[in-house]
Amino acid sequence: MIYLELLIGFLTVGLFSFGGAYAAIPLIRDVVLSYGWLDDEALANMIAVSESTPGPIMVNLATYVGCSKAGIPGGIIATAAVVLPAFLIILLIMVLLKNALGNRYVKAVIGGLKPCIIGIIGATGFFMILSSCITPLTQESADFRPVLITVILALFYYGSRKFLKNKVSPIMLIVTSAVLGVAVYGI
Amino acid sequence: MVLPSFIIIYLISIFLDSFIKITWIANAFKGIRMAVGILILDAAVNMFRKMKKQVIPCVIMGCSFTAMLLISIFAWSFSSVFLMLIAGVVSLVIFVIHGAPSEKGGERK
Repeated sequence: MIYLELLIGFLTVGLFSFGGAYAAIPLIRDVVLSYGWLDDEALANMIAVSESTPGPIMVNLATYVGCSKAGIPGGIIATAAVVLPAFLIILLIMVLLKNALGNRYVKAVIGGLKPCIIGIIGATGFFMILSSCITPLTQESADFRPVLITVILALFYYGSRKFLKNKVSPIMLIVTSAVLGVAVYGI
Repeated sequence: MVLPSFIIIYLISIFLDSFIKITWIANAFKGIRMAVGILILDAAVNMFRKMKKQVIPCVIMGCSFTAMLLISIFAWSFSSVFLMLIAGVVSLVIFVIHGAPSEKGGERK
């Protein structure tokens, strides 16, 4: 039953997304793809929507997937499931395991988790860029538009950081990319 | 507290499928997909910059990156949660063997 799948899926996400919002994205992608709820393209759209709406990405994504799969009840279940683990764990740590985080063994485990997560997030982002750019290139009439857009966006994002005082915010980047998308594909 | 976002997203979830049939909206989303990839990669790069550059963490990071990339490319069904658990265990084992955590308070190298 979809409700149960949503519950378990997003509990998993909530439980293992150490390192914050972006760490949840590979996990959510895993869960969503393995249950067959969405494909990569639809997921990327949803990530974009979740980044542009108020609230933490992880929660918004959960709400979105839940709602699109099973309406309002689905949304509620998914959202509750994703915030619950963190809530409970923090509660548990505060109440019972005050010294747990100082424990050397716990520190060792966390010391291994962190770089792993960085690698996972990096690979996910890299893969998303690669797959959006390369697949169009391998078609009959090579489509360079994704590459073009990506390069422009990358230059814009990193260039603004180096040369201008103000860093471009994620929302700005998304807005720019939307405009670029319309411009480049509209020709 | 969570309600406004919930309502907004619920509405979007209903209408997005119809919206995306409009060509210029679909095109906009094609562009947005590029930005999403860049943002995610950027998040990882930032975390990397703040990371202490020691051998073992870097090796773990490199292996996880490669593993995750291969998993994605070949669409293997190896969960990233599993990957993290392995990393945690490996780190713990190395710690027990060497007795030097990669946080402060460990052996001076």
